[in-house]
Amino acid sequence: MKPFLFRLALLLVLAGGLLGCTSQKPAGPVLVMAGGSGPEEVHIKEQLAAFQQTHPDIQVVYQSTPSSASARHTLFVTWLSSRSPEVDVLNLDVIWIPEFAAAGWILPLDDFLAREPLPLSDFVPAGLACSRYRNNIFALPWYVDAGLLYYRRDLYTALGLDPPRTFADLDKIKPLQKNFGLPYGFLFQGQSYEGLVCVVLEFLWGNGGAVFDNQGRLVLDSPRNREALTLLVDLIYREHVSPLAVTTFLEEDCRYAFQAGYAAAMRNWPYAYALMEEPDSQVKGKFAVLPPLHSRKARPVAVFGGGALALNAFSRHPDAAAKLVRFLLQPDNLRDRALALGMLPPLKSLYTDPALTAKFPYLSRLKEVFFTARPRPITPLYSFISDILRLHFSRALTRQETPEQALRRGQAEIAALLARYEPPGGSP
Amino acid sequence: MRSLAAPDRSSFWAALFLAPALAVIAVVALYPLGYTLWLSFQQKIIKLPWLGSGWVGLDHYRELLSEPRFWRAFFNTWMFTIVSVALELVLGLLAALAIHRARLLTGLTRAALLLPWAIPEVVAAVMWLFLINPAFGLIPGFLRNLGFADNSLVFLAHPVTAWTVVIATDVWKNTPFMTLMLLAGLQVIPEDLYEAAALDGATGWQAFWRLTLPLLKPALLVALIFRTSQAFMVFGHIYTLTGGGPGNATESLAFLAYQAILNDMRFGYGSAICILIFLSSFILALLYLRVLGLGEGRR
Amino acid sequence: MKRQNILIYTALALFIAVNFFPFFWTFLSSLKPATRMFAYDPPLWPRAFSWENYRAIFTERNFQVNILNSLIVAGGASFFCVALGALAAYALARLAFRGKTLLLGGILVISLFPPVALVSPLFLFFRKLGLINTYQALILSYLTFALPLTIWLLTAFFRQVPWELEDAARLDGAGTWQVFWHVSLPLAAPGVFTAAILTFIYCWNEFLFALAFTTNDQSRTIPVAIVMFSGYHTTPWGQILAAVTVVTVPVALMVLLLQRRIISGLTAGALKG
Repeated sequence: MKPFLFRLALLLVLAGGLLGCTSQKPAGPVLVMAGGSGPEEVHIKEQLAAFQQTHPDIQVVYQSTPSSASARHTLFVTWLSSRSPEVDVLNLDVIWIPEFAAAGWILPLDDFLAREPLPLSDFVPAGLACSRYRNNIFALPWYVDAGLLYYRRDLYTALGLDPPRTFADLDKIKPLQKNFGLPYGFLFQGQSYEGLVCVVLEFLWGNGGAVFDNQGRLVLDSPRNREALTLLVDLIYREHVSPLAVTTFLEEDCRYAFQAGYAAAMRNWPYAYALMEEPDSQVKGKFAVLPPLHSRKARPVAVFGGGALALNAFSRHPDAAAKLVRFLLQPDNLRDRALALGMLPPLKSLYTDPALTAKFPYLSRLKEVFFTARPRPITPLYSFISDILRLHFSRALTRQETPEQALRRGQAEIAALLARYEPPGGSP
Repeated sequence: MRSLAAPDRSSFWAALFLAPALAVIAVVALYPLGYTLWLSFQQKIIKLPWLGSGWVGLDHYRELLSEPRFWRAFFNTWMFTIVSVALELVLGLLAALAIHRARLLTGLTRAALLLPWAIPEVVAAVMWLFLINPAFGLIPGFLRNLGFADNSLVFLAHPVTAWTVVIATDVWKNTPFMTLMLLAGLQVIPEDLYEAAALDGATGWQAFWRLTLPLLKPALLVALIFRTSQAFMVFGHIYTLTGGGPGNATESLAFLAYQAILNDMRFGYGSAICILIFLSSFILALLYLRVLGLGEGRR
Repeated sequence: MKRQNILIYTALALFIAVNFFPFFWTFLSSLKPATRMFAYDPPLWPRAFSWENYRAIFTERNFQVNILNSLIVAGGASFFCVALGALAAYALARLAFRGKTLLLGGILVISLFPPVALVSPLFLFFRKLGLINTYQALILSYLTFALPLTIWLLTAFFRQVPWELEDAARLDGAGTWQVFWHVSLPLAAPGVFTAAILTFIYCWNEFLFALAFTTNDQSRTIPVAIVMFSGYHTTPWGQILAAVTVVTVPVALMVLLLQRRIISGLTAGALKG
């Protein structure tokens, strides 16, 4: 017992010593910003240091949070439901803005923008749309994500095929696979999570369908949607262009498979581009990027994703925090961030910036994809809607339901949800 | 069976010995637990403020009990708990007996036996995900070489095989817990009892059934109660492996609760789910107590 | 008898293989450079060894800080849990007072609640006390939720301690404390060390409270640190697997050190009394 106790006592003394180290209290407001970790953290800290140089009276402390959206959401909900004032600037996923705004957890920014305007018209339209709730702006877009189609340009050129743009072009993948011995044809994220909702929405929109129409009516169960969902499911079970494995794939599974040269095409986010152009990638220089697949009768529409900066409603230093947000949204800082981390900027003018297009050649060619990207339903009820969609899309994809059943039941459930929870006079 | 100490002094010592632990529990645990119970009777969806918040009585419970998704998760959780715990019990008992008997086993092998339990739940799930990944996993690769069709190697795409993976990996991870508890229980059974039984002509099997098992009851009880309640609360394991999919085939009650509280911010509803989880574990614990008994001291 | 032994050893060998293989594969995979890790038919043995992932987690991510934090939190919680738990368990097992079953039941109830329900109110509680980002918050939380198992386990063990030994000690003039410390506790040693290991591992692996109660890199524990490796979309498998390998080693060592304490016979203890 004795040596055991001794060891533990030693540990506790150590603990006590470490606990004794407290930081000094600085003068002036201390801002705390919460954002992602890893390389992102390193870069943000550099920008924060530059901010402090130009604003010597404000100190900024960075708090790293998980970059993965769901873990960060858990953290933010825990903090804000206890009205914690400890963090001033929050890095939110765009689909959280309406719910945080409705909960009263983030500040409307209209007053700040009235005092010192920002070039709102230069923001990517979807980004601004996501940041608005009930006619107020509650956040400002910080980086942009949109679905893209990656394909093996070298293989397509070798066979003299046109690049895949429409759903009909998916027919050409099978012969390509056979010719080059690729195990996989077209890869997409099909596991039961938010990413699946994004993928399916792109297919629905690409076929001219939607979840809500322009008047805000629920149109999930429509012939166009049935056609699109059936097409997606058939890719796995009839055409055998996509392996059953996609029902377990997340973004990285698709990327690793494509990067190792196993697939002819994949749907993924822009982040994969820089990673697959690294020296050790099997497909370096062999692939190209296109807008998402669509039907011949419709236009390609990418799902809009990304992040935004918001101010904690319980923050003690909202003015100083607003200054920090403004600083981070300066075009130079946005450009640096894109170059360093591959997180695309929210300002339209930067999509033809020479430095950025040098690093991401597809940026100016595909800028319309980003400018016309469509956000997912902008409502505090989105997590409920997404849950219903995810469930039924996943069941359709794993043949627990037919596409018709999935859409019909999904429509019924969302309608019931809206009837129950819709705010008086409001709608998504 | 009575202690020689005087009763009233015994109460004093009892209070003294119990005070620190109870103080910690009371200070830290009572507020969250009480709050959860209270919350389960409230409407509190923070992000839908127009719904108002306030007392709704048993509404959440009524809503839950009429929702097919709840019942699916309820059935899933019970099935998962019963199958996993049963398997862990049998395998854990066998392992504990083997370690107890095989004195030649080095500490290294004992440590290896306990390893799966020593890592975070999510990490274990990640390791297994890596092994069964249809594209890069070792196991599908191996089976593919044996001639299995690609589509049959996607274990997580079908509800039945998905559950098999979830249960198998859970058993892999948690059997050491049972092993550890039962091994400790085996240690306090004195050898001379076995010698006496052998002298009386009892076979190994009879000795096990009549001697070992009854004396293992206290350890069994504790192991079963706690392992069962942990299984009932399973969340991280499933979330990492399947995300509740395919569809909602592998959703557990705790998964629904997590979704409700941290995703949908339906604090009241989510708390009600947690209370139901608690009640299920409690009923099972009472069942174990009934069957196994609290165990008397040795005469 | 021999055939039974062969059966036992074979089964054990199988057990050990199945238990150990995922770790072995994880370790091997962590040595493969990123490109080699993702092969359609992964070769069993890596063709190129690289310690890059290990270098990265210690230099780029300061993983050693997280390991230290986990050690302190788990060590502290285990120590206090066993100390407080043993006392409480002894009272429940041996001392006479009313309402034992009720108390045991009440203590049990604490551990039957899913942590997801408790994380928000506990966060509020610790925030009000200014204990966020301290070891105390985690140690207190882990202590509270590990106590029920410790108390139940040790109560069972103390009940098994023979009355005669305790009575003999009392006859020799020992008070309650001396009986507890010199007679009962040593005899319940297997239970004590089992409880210590169980608590340690619970703390080592706990994620939700650690995520919520620690908000800066210096105070984070291992499970949260590993989750933080991931980027917005990216999952650095190599580093994650390396970190997993690294954290398994101290726990394995700890179990190795303590497992002998668990496997101590009652007869040996009784002779000391």
